[in-house]
Amino acid sequence: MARIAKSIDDKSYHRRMLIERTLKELVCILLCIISLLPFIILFVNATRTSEAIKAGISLLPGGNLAANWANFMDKQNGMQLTVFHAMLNSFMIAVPATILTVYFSTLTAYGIQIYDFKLKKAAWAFIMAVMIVPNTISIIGFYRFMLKLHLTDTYIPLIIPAIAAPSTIFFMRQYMQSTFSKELVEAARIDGSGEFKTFNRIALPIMKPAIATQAIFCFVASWNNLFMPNMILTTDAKKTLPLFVQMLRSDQFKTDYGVLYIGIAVTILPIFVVYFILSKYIVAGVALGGVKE
Amino acid sequence: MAKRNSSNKRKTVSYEKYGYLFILPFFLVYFIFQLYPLINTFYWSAFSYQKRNLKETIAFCGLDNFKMLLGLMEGETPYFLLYLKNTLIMWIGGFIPQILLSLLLAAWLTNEQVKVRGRGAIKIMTYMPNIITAASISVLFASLFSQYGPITMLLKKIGILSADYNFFDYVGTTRGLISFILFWMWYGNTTLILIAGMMGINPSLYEAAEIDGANGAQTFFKITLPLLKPILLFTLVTSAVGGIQMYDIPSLFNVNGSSMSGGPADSTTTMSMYIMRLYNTDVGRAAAISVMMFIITLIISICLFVSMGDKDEKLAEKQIRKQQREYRRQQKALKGGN
Amino acid sequence: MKKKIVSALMCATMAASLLAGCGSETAAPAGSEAASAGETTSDGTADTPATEATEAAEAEDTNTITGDIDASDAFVVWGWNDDIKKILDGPFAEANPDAYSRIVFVNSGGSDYYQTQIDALLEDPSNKLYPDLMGLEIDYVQKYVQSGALLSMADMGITDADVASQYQFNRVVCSEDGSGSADAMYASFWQATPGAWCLRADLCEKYLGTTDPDELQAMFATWKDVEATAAKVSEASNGACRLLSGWDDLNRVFMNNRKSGWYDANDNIVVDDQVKAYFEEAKLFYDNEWTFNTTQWQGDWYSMMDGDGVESNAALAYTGCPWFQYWCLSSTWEGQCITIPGPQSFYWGGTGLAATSECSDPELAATIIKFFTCDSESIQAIAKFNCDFVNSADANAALLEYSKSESDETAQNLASGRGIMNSQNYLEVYSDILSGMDLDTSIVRAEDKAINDNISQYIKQYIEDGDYDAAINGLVSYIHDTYSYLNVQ
Repeated sequence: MARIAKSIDDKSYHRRMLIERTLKELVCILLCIISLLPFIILFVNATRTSEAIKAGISLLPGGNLAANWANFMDKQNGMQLTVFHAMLNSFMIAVPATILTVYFSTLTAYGIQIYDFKLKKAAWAFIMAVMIVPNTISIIGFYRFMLKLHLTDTYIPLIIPAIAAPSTIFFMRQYMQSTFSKELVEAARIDGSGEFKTFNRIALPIMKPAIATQAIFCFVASWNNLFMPNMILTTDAKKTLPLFVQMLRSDQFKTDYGVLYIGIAVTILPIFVVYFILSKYIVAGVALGGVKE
Repeated sequence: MAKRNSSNKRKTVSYEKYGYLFILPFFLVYFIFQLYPLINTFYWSAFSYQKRNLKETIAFCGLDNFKMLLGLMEGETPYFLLYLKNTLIMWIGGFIPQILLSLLLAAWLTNEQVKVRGRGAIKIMTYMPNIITAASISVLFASLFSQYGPITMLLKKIGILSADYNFFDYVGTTRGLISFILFWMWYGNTTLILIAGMMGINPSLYEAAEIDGANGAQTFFKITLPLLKPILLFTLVTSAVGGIQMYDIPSLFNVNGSSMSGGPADSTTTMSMYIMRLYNTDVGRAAAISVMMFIITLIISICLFVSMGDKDEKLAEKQIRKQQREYRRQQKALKGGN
Repeated sequence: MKKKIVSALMCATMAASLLAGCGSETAAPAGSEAASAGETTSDGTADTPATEATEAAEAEDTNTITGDIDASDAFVVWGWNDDIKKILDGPFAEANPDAYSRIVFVNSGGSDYYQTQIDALLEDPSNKLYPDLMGLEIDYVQKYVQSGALLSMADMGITDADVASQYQFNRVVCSEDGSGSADAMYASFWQATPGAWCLRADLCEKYLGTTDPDELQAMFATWKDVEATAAKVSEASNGACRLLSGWDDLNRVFMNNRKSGWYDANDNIVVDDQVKAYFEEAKLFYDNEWTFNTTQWQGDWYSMMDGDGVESNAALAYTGCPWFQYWCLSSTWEGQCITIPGPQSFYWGGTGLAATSECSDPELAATIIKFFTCDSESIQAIAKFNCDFVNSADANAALLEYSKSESDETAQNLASGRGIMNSQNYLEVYSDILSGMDLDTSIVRAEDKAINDNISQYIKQYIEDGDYDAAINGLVSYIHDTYSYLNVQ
């Protein structure tokens, strides 16, 4: 009797589970579509004529991509900045900034983790305390300071401050605590390795996974930054990709919907592609590395 | 033997000094490029520092900048409070649905009884908007929802909107759209963080709950949610601090030229946009806005520390470490998979 | 897992299709980019500390500089695009080869931050990039006129007689005291930009029954007429065609007609009656659905140029001016533009030249300014060269004569305004409009652009809640907040 009841129970239980799962999956699929849909419309519209775009929405690409592209390139003539130039500029800021951030953050974390110096506790407390203070808060003083040093309209204010990244240090130390032992350093010392050599040759390679994760997020943050470059950079030829996006809003790109959409599409495409190549690493790293914002 | 020991000790002591050398670059750069400018900002906030027709006037004015911004002086409109309100409304409008959906999604994706298929793909897709350049996203949504934009036209065709409707003419819809963009960009991120938090919860607690006959909702509210409190607080605080600086989306969304005034009727102007509007012509007041933003950030962080308490902090640390282990496991798995 | 693959594939195909489509087109722009890089030279910020970062920064050129900046007699001219340079390279070089060889032209590359760059340099006359001469737009010319950083025309030896042929409104707008005399003028304009209503002939024929400019002007003679015409267009086309694309097209028509500036001599903010008239007219246009409520310069606004007014939406008229006609109207308008003065006169933009107070060679500055803005012969050469509508009554009369009597390509270009006019003579229409123009440009203030750009917001507020006082108070307190040296009364 009891057994029969259990089997009925099992059946209905399984059916309920199945329905529940299907429902949940449907919702998830819907969410995925919502995430992707604006980009699909964007890429599709980039291939359509202005009139077709005006006439309505479509999920099938049109045949006007080449013409839109030619038009878009044409509209950039006479500007001091093309989209590729802007990407190059962004790249030239993001790459050194990323390298500086991860290297010096690892260095600082290592310094605090490995050595027992007097001010160690105070230094760590300071880093923890300033972690939450965003850069924008000090922007006015920063801008006046750069003005005084004649560093506005250069990339230096966008690159050098990257050395000081408290949240990256925090992450690096957390990672170090669980992977890195002091014995390793002591062993290296016995082998006659200098302190910095030990760091560069032994610590850095061990930290590689953490560095890779942080590098991705630092790069993306620098690449996407709008506020700071907007204040610092004045010459069009030096502007970064987000500032180019800002220029897309200006008159000459708005004469034609196709041009506008292809313009936005081009600015999105590189990071879109890179994301899908690296997505599993990025998603795995988010919970740890992406938490700073 | 004894000799070696003592020499070792001496060496150890001298090694520890290297610590200063290692942390020096950080502190040097931080003091020069962050702390000094921060102090500088405080300094300028006490000056009336204006530029008109290329001529600068600088005069000490005490707290007048703050009084002006807060509407405490005669005839002054409290624009700072207005823009704080705008910022908060848009942030809350994005954050509440974000945290609710993220909790739900995280619970679904970590549920071992009802295994949703394609978890990896769901994570990748929902997180994706977070990594795309926010400026591009703002311009994209502005064109999708413009008066003759594809989505507006679709809604007009199926009769939901009248022919002349324009989202950007109304305070509610413009703010709503900005909140939606923020929600859409960030819920994937929050979900991933909450998933990590949930996976850090000891599975034996769930097993015990199951034996006691608790249903899904009960386990969620009695076990998951309380244990998730530190992570939730953390999410709340980081989101709030980020939200206060809100700039990229509203500054490119419904703004006329480079006026840094978010339409309609200034209803989507944020504090960062206000700084951007004044930083070149009215340095003192721009600095005062920064100082007030700093104070707000400070208050939020203090609230966090107070509400987290010692116990929670330890718990959070434990969970972070658990996540780390989980992360490394995943990394290994990935490497093995390749 | 499967879904992951599917999604990745989907994105990959999307990306690939985009890239593949682009491939064939990329060759040309890459070439042009290389060409422009060849022209540029470094600006010499080499004294900044040598780090990785500076090296990266230095690989980029700050500005496009043409000429030898290090020459001892270099004469630096600044502009935000190549308009001035083209004239210098063309007609000016031909007439003054020696002076031309000394000119170093700096193109800031975009007008957005032109002022930021100029402002920094004006404080530092020892900088070799310090402008001797620079281009200025009507929108912000007063900021520099009032700054004390410029030379007046009289300082350079340019007399009232030299500027006599310039249109009064253009002389007043760059005067310190609104007098328009040479000793008060700190800049001099070579473009004149009278405002006009540009109507599309095919839509006029369809919905107003005529393409005759005089008959059409009768339909736009007063605001009452304009309103009746707007109603007629909307009704006849069933709403597919409307008079204007957006009500903010009316902005300049009202703002230019103010009798008082945004603030008085005591820096008290003043709201002119025309502001109220604009609010009311805009609301009327909105309430009656006489426009599509687009925003100027937005994609939706442009798209109304190309509709057919039956199946797709189209605007019958745009408020414009000479440069607007040949630069901004789309190809649909070629041979279709009927230009009429409308109910009240206005103007739109204009570019001038100004010499700086520390100018290295005021004499050369005067030569260039005279060439661009005083000497009828050279002004005509400029107009023939690039079709600018110029700031000289004499030159325009001579050019009109030329465009009517000759039949070469230049004359045709001038007569048709680069092929956009329907039947009228471009020079004649605008000369007539100018002769009837009676605007007081002494009301122009340095802050006008930002203020006028922001009016729409408050009109929207008025349209929504109908409370004019609240809207105008909002505008006034916004002005005061942005420019805190201006007082609310």
